[in-house]
Amino acid sequence: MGVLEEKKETVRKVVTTKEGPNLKGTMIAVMLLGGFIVLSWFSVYWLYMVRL
Amino acid sequence: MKNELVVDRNDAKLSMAHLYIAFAAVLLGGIAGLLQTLVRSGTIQLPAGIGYYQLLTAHGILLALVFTTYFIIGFFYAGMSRTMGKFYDQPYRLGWLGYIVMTIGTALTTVMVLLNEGTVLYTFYAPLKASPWFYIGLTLFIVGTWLAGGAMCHQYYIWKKVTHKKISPLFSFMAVMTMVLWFVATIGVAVSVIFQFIPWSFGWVDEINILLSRTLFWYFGHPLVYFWLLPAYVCWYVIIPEIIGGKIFSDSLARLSFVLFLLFSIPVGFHHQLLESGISPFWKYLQVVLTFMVIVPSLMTAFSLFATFEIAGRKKGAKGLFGWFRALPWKDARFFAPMVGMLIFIPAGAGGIINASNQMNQIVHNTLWVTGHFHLTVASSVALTFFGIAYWLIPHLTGRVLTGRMHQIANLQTILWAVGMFFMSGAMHTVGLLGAPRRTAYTTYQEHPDALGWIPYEVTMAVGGSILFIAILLLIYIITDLAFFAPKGKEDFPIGEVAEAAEKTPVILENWRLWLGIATVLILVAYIVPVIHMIEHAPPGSPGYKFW
Repeated sequence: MGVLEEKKETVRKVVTTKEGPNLKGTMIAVMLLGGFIVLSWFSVYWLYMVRL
Repeated sequence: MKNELVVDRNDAKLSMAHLYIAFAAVLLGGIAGLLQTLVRSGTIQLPAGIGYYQLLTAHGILLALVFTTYFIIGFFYAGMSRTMGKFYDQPYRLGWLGYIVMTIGTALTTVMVLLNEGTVLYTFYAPLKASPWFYIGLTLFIVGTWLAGGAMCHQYYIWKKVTHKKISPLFSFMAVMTMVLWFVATIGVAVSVIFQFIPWSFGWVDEINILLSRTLFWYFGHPLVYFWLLPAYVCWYVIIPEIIGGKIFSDSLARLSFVLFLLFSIPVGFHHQLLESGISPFWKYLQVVLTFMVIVPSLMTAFSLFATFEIAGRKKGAKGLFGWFRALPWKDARFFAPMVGMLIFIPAGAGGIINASNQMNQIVHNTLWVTGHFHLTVASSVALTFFGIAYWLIPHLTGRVLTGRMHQIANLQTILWAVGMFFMSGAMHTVGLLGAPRRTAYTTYQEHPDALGWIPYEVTMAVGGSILFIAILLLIYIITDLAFFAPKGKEDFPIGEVAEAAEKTPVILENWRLWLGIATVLILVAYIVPVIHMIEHAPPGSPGYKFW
C-alpha cells in the first residue's frame, strides 16, 4: 500500500513540474487560418445566394 | 560501405535516374503551358497543325503525372536509403525494373500525344477516344509505379525483419504510407483502363459506360492529389525542422495525420462529380462529409508546423507573439521554396473546401477557378516544395554542394514562381467566378459581351504564364548546375529529430492491417452501392468520338 502511494506521488510530481513550450503564436496563427477559410467559404456562398 | 548519414551510391543512381526524367518533363510541360496561355489569350495561333488540346494533354500528363510521380519515387528511394540504409538486392532490382516499365509507358503515351492520337486531356474522359496505345502506355506507367511501390514496401519489410524494430523511421513510414495510398487509389483507374478503355479503343466492344468510367477515374483522381501532397508533407514534417534548426514537434501527430489521409482521401471522389447525373444525392452527401474529414489532418499539419517554427524561433531568442516568424532562415533556398509553398497552401486549401461544397461547386464547376485552384495546390505548394527538396537532394546525390550564389538564384526562382502564379492563378480564380470555362481554347462566343469581358483576365493569365516560364528556365539552369557543374563536396540530407518533450510513438500507428482494414470498409461503404447501381441500371453506353 505504501509503495503504491509513493508511486502515485511520483506521478503527481511529474505532472505538476512539466511545463509545455510557449505556443501562443501558433494558436493565434491557426485561428487566423481557420478564420480565413471560413471567410472564403462564406464569400463564395454569398455569391451562390445572390445568383440563385 | 554502409553509412547511415548519406544515401548509398547505387541508390543515389536509381534516385537520380528518376529526377532527370522529372525535370525534363517540367521543361517540356512548361513549354506547353506557356503556349496554352498565349493561345487562350488570343496572343498567338499555333503553327504546324499543333492543336491547343494536344498541348493541354501534354501539359497535364507531363506535369501532373510524369514530373510528380518520377520526383516522388526518386525522393522516396533516396530518403529510405538515408533513413533505413542501403536498399537490399531484391527491392533494388525491383526499383530499376519499375523505372524501366514506367519509362516505356511514359514514352509510349508521350509519342501518342505527339502524334495527335491521344488528345483526350490527362483525365481522358470518355467518350473521347484515344489510340489504344495511349491507354496501354498509361497502364505500363501505373504498373511501373506499382513495382516501385513494391520495392519500397519490400525494403521496409526486410528492414523490420532484420532490425526487429516496431517503429520505422518517420521518413520511411511516410514514404510507405504514400505508396500504400497510391496502390489503393490506382486500383480504380487500372480497372477502368483495362476493362473499359482498352477493349473499347481496340473496337472489341462498341460502347462504354461513361458514368462508371468517370467514377472509377475520380476514385483514383482525388487520392492522386494526396499522392502529390504527402511527399511535400514529408518535407514539411521531417526535413524543414532540421533546416531551420528546430525539432519535429511530434512524431505521433505526424504519423496520425498520414493515417488519416489514407482513411479519408479515397472514399471522396464524388465531390468531383457533384454535377453529374446518375448518382444519388445521398452518396454525394456522404462523400462530401468524408471529404471534409480531410480538413482534420490538414489543420493538424498546420498546427504542428507553426509549433515547430515557434519553438525553434523562441529558442533562438525571438520575442513577441510572432517574432519567431522573422527568425526563420528566409535566405536559405532549402527553406524558402517549401515555405512559400506552405503559405500558398492556405488559399489553396480554402479553395478546395469551396470546390467540395455542394452549392459552391455549382458556382465553380468546370470553370477556370478550378484550374486556378490546382495551380495553387499541385503547381505551387507541391512544386515549390519539390524544387526546394531538389536544391539539396541533387547535390547530395551527385557529390556536389549548393553554393551561396545558387541559394540566391534559387530564391529568385521561388519569387518569380510566386509572382507568376499570383497573376495566373489569381486571374483564373476571378474569371472562373465570372463563368469562364476551363479546358477551352480562345473563343469570343460570337462576340458575346460576357466572353469579351473575360479577355483581360486571359491576358493576365498569359503574363503570369510568361513569368512562370522564365522561372522554369531558371529552375532548369539550377538543376543542371547542381547535377553536373556545381563544386564537388558534401551536401547534407537533412532529417529532423523529434523534440525531447514529444510523447513516445504508439505502435498502433504502424498497424497496417488495422488502417488498411478501416480504409477498405470506408471505401466499400462509400462506393459499393452506387457502383452496383451504375452497373445494374447503366445508362446507354456511348461510342467513341474523336473531335480533333
